[in-house]
This record gives sequence, C-alpha cells and structure tokens, in this order.
Amino acid sequence: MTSVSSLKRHDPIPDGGMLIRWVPWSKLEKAQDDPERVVGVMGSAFQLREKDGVKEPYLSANWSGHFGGDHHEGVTSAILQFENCSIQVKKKSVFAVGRVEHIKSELLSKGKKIRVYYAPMPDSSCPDEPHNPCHVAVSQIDIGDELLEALSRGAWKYYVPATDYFNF
Amino acid sequence: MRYVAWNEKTTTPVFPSDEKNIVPKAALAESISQKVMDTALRVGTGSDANFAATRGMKKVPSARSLAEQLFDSRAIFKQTASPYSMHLPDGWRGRLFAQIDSMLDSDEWDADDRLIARESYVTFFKLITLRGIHIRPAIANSGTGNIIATWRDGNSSLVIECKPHSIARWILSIEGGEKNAGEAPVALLLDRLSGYKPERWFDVG
Repeated sequence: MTSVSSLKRHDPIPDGGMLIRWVPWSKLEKAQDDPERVVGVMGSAFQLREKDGVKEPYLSANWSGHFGGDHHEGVTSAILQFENCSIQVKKKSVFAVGRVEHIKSELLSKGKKIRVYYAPMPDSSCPDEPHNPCHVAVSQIDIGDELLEALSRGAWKYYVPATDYFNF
Repeated sequence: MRYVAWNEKTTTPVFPSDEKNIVPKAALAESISQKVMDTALRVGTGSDANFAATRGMKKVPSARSLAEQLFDSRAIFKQTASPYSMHLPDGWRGRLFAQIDSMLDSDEWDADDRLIARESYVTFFKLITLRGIHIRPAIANSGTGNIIATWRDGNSSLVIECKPHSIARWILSIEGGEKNAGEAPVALLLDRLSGYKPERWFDVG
C-alpha cells in the first residue's frame, strides 16, 4: 500500500473520495425473518459516541483516495488499514462505503453542512492511536437520528462484509 | 443446638456430624451478606446499585468481563419478556430470544457501545404487544443503551427506538419520499402513525 496523497493534515477531502466506516454487527439492520441476514446499516452506526462522558469530536472513517490505484484498489487498501487501527474488526461486521459528495449533499439537502478533512493518526489529541495514514474526520456531524437514518439509507447505504477482506 | 451450615460448592446443607465443613455462624452471616450485595450489584442497573449504596453497603467495582455483562443483558431481556409472553403471537418468544442472542453475541459486540438498559427492553415488549402489531420486527442497537425495532415493507421502513419510561421514538420513510419522525408514549404510537398506513409494516398479508 503506497501513499499517493499529497494532502496535509486538516486539508479537505476531495468530493470524489470514498469514506469507509466500520460498522459492528449490532448496528446492522437484519431481515425480520432471519436475524443472521444483513439487509442494511442502521443510522446509529454513524452516531458520535460518548466515552467517559465526552462526545467524540468527529466521526472517524478511512479514505480510499489516500492510496494509489483504481477505485477498487483504493477501497481495499483503506479497508485493510483497519487491521492497524484501535478498532477490533469482528467477523460479522461490515464496512459502510459512501462517496464524500453524496454524504455532504445528503445532509446539505436537510440544511446541515459538514466538513470532511484529512486527519492521519496518531495526532496530538490521540497520541496513543496506532498509525493510520488514511484516517479522515467528519466534523459538524452531531446530527439527530432522523438525519443519521437518512444517511444510512442514502449516501452511506452500501456496505461490504468484513469477511471479504479479513480472515477470522 | 444444632447448626446447619452451607456447603459453598454444592449449595447443600452440611450437618454437624461433618465438623470440618461447618462454617462459623458469624462467617456465614458475612458470607450471605456479601452474596446479597454482590447480587444487587451484579444486576447492574442504576437502581440496584443505589439500593446497595443507600443501605451502607460497600460498592465493589465491577470486574465482570464483557462476555458476562452481555450474558446478563440477554438474561434481563428474557426475564423482561416473561410477563408479556402470553400476549405474544405463537412462535415469537423463541425467535425474539434468538434475535437477542445473536445481537448480543460477545464475539461481535463493540466494546465501546453501551449495554441496553432494562427499561428499554420493557418499552420494547410494550411496543410489540400492542394490539395491531402482527409482524415481528428486526432488532438493532442504538449504541446509547436502547434497543431499536425495525419494520420494512419494500422501500418503506419504520425504525422505532425504545426509550425508557415507555417512550417510542419513530423515524419512518415511505417509498416515494415521504418521511416523518416523532416521539410518543407507546400506548399512543399507533394513533400517531395512523396517517401513514402502519398496517403496511404491522399486518400480515
């Protein structure tokens, strides 16, 4: 995986980039008649979480454009980078994939402007985070569940199973 | 006087003839007290922890593993189901248990997520036993301590977050673009959804 990106920290991510977010099993929508069959991603997968009473400042994702190659190679490289993250990827989890411009426009159509910028790890706020050169931050996304649900059924509705990329 | 002690391992009474197994009375009382307190803390809800605190009991930091906490959460769901079971359609109980066992699988749980609160489970069972709901929902986790019920009919979906104190928060999306969200006591939910033909999600056929 070779980096071809010339972006500097806090630079905006180009609209054509793909953002990949890890989604755990419990935040996947299952079929009503089969609790093992995934039919979608829940809006709660994109919610800012609280840790020790403090809300995350931004939503974390990996960016496919950091690596060279075509669309497929970029997405694959960005997904494989999760192996080095603090996240422990689980067998039944998935990676939600959304295009930056679609995510932005989906929320803008509902009056919410977000910012997507390059934020490689570790940084000064998370010095203990493992090395992740394709990490991006989606800020100003502290939005209500209605918008999160719209996101999960719109711009960020595509997903790929973790088993396609990792051996468990 | 005959003392009857308690064998810790077998949980069967031990009689004085077996002298070496007798637990002194004071030690026995302390052991029982500790067990009561452990049970109160083990249940894990705020009210149970407060129960221990208000009685001057020492709060023991929880050292339970995530797997144990998830086991307890699955058990709480099943306990909560008990009084509602008679109102559930045939076959639902077992399938709901399979759904919760799957969702709270310790091999898959994201350790950063909050466990689902008992009060949310209560709201969930009040919701699915409403008269007029004949289709079992899928379930998911809000990540903030609540269970989510979802119904889907083609491209029309209904997502209900079951909040404590019998409050249902709904988000619906109808094929064609109509969307709506709101919050209401569970008992009023069907009334609030009546303009959106909720039978598309709740009725068989």
